[in-house]
Amino acid sequence: MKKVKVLLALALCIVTVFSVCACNPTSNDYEINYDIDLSQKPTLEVLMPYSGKSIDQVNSDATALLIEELTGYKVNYTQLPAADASKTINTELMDKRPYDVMKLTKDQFSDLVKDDMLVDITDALEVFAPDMLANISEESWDVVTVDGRIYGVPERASSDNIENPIVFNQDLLNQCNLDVPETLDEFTEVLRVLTQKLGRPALTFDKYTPLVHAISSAFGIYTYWQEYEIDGKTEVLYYMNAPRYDEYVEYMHDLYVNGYIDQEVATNTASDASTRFVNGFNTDSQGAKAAAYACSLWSVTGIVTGLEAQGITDNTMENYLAYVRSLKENATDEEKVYRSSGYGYIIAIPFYQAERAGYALDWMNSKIKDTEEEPNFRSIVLGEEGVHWTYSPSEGYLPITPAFNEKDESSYYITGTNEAKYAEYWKARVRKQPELFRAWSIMMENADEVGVYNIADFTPPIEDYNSNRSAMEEYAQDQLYIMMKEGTDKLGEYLEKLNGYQGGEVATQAINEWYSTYYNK
Amino acid sequence: MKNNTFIARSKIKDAPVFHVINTILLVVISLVCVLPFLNVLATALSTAGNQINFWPKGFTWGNFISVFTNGGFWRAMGVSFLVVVCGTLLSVTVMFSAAYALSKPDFPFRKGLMVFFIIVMIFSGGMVPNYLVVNSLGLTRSPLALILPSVVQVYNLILIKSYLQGLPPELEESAKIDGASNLQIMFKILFPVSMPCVASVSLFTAVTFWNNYTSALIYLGTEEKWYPLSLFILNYIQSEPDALVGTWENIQKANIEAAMIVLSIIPILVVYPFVLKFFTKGVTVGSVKG
Amino acid sequence: MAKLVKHRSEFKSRLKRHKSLIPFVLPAVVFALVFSYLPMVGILIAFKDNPNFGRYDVFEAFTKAGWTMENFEKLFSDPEILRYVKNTLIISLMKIIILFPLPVVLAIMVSEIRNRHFSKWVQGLVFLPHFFSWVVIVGIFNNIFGLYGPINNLSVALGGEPIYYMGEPAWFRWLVVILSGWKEIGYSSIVYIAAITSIDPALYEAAKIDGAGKFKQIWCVTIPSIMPTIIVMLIIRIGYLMDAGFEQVYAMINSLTRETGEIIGTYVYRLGLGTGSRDYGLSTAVGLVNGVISLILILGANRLSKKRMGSGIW
Repeated sequence: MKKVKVLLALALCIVTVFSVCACNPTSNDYEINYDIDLSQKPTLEVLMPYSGKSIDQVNSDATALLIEELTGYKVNYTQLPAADASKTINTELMDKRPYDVMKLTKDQFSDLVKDDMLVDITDALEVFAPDMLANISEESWDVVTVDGRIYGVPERASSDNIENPIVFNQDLLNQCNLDVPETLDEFTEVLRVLTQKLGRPALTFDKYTPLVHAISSAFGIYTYWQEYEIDGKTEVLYYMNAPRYDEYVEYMHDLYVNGYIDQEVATNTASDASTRFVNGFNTDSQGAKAAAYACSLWSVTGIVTGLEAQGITDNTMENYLAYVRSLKENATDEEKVYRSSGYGYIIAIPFYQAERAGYALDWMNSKIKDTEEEPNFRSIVLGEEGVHWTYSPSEGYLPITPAFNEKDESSYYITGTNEAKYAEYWKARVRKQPELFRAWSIMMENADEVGVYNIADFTPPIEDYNSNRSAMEEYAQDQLYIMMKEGTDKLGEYLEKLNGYQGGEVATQAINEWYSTYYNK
Repeated sequence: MKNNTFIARSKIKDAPVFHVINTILLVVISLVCVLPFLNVLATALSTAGNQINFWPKGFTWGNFISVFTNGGFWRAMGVSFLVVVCGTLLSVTVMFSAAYALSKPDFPFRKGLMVFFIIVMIFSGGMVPNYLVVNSLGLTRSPLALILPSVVQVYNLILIKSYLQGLPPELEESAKIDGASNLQIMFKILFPVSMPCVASVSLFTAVTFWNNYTSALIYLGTEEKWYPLSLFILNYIQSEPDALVGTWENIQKANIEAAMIVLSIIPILVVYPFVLKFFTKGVTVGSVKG
Repeated sequence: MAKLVKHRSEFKSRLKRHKSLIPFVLPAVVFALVFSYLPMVGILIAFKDNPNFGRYDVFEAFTKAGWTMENFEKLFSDPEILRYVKNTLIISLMKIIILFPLPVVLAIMVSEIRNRHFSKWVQGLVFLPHFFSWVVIVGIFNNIFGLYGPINNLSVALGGEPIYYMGEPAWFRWLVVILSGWKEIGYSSIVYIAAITSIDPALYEAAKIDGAGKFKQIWCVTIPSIMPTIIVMLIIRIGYLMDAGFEQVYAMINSLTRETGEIIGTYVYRLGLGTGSRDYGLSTAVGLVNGVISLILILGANRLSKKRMGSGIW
């Protein structure tokens, strides 16, 4: 009896679900409407990443209003939540929310391309967006091109920065009569003395950065995916497969067992790590402290604010902060270091909004325009000359504080960059904070000679790579933390699993295939 | 009936050693339960980077002020109140009336329906099908999506059903002789008598609604104006502050989180004492007969 | 045959007698059908080759995707999943063995309090932790078990070495049990306190006259009296054996502890929703197998309890 009832209930449900689904007419394919009147300028719906602010603040920001004024399009911004943003994108698209434009991360973009969810804008770009085609480089378009068709607008941010220093507590270095280290041996010694002085492990970082670029550089591992010479052949490998990966891990393991590395790195957030480093200047504090911090360059602003809160308010922080971008094995070794490609976001249009794609592209196109008569892009990024910035032939664009604070969020609103000009404009933002500019200048010294890029930054969506990427990254990160603690005994086993179960081999093959065709082109 | 644990048993004066040890142990247990909250409170009143046990260091009201001046926080709290009040009313009413029917030992579908509800407790279609159903009903992006899918609370159903079965049958029979309908019996007689049980179950339900953030995450999407407090706090915890804007708030993030947590539990603490007295009388499970 | 007819006519008369009660149970049934059973149709996804729900309408995506048993083959041949099953069972069994009896003990202790105000305070405090979400609780305990938190401060003050509890695979399961105990023991004791309240005090007097001491009284009067409650709670608990506490573990797990801490729940979540994978098929298949096992467990436990003790949940 029971069973019959349950079966009946189930049957009922199936009937209902079918009838619910049957109401929705299915559209077979999409088509871009080229026959639109661009002077109409309808209100555009734009999906943005999480801003950390309320959506009302996002919509009423000075830059948002300026963009409306410049482009003539009224825009309604919506933002994803910080928690599980990618899941929210899935449900938003299942729901066919009418977004004309979506600002996506590269991973989200690749996912959506794989599922054929984005509008092919190749032909429409020529019609609606000549300025975008002109001002975004070939290299950047390649990132969004699959089988010769373009599915999004790449946003290459800023200049290609070297941005992963280890920042030292210079004050403490002075107290211990230590120089800023250059080689691994010096670094170990510095950590030893600092740890002793501080009574706490001297080096901290956060849970996302077990591959400390500044240290791994000494072992020839500069970034996640890079070329290695193996048996005279050039091969692109994931860092865990790098020839000298075991040496890097052994070195970190040594630092760890000697108590020089913060034991809580595997759970630290960036703000935890930052707080620890700042706390290292506070001699009275009994809390967690550190004297060296493998950070992102952009943490410097926060560090300076933290130091100010402690009463350290020098204009230059030379006596308090010192930066190292890479360590070497031997002092004479050639320097190489990871350089960011600056690809942050990709802007795309969901397939069901293809009809209105023309308006979206027209809007983005007018934002990127930067001519004598219409310096839209400059206005969006920098604001008005004489109000927000001035120009000096020797130093470039200089911010005028406090008016320039209005432009704090400007990069959030851009959709694709005028690449040639952005690198220069962007420096105004770095200059806003003198210490950040000092740090940035140290990091960027002869960047063109020493910089090494992450190959995966330049790949278009490749299914074999993208579908394994997150599993690989997570696995590699977990295992690196485990080996930092336990040593490299099980490295062989881990590698086998990475390359097999976690899809490392398939992904590596896919990347190399793309690499060989791309760089032979 | 009132407080009979104490009155009836306190006459029994024996085993002094047992009582001393029992008292000490209970004091320790209570402390263990409450100390972690003192730690959060102390953190909420401290400046960043201090090692905090149970007393604030680098005392500041700044964290609280920062939360107080955050409009989003108050809006989210309003949404949470709305969802909790409506959700609890609906859920408890629906569960109570179902429990009333199921508490009749010879109600024809009783056993089948119990299995029917137990299955609800155990099986779920998964995130995607849940979403698809709620969405095709047009409920997504509205607070209804936070309420309606959580109306059926099987554990509460079992609790109410057991409670009703434990009531003396004469209560109902005399009313039936007076010609009262089922609806009248339920609302006029059983509901008031079941107050202890209803109050406890209401609190459980309210807490479920108050703390639930997964449905908000799945069903509300980007509809920020309906985000409840739980999701608002989660969003704050999971966001990495814009590094280029080094503000005091960014440095104090962990402490501001603590302040948010403290403020978010206050509404529960306010209601709590009023419901507490019903707990021990309202929640019976044992007297069920098969 | 005659028996069946009799049974049927009896059912009819019962139906007639209680017809007016059907509307009372109807809203709950409708809510359950719409929001729980209707989505269960989605379990069919477990037999599908990952439908593309974003691109097509639900029905179209579902029909486009081919039927397959691959998800189950993958599930049963995957050594990783076996490890997650193992973790789930270990954590769940630890929780049952260690945490199930404690609320009973606490309830007995609370019921022995002779001062009404003290009793109220104790109850107020021990029930409290239940009312906070896991995100909040894990946030609190990350700090408390942190290297510079109170626990380590204390052990260092006593001359011990600080331990990074949250990053020790060996400690992880214990932490899960400790936190879960802290949150739920007080709350779970409510039903037992209620049950003890309704015990006839005359039973204790009688036991005392027989010369029974405190422990003897507890053993011979209290425990047998609340046994039915204990059994019902145990059946419900066993039904949740395959659920080691997703929200809790998800909030607690990190790079160092995934080895001993990843459970089926967190795995399904990562599988279904992590960027780049979105393997709805496999994720649903794991959930289905999980649910079937739970159902068998709870039905079995209920039947056993009816046979042995004469009572169950239904």
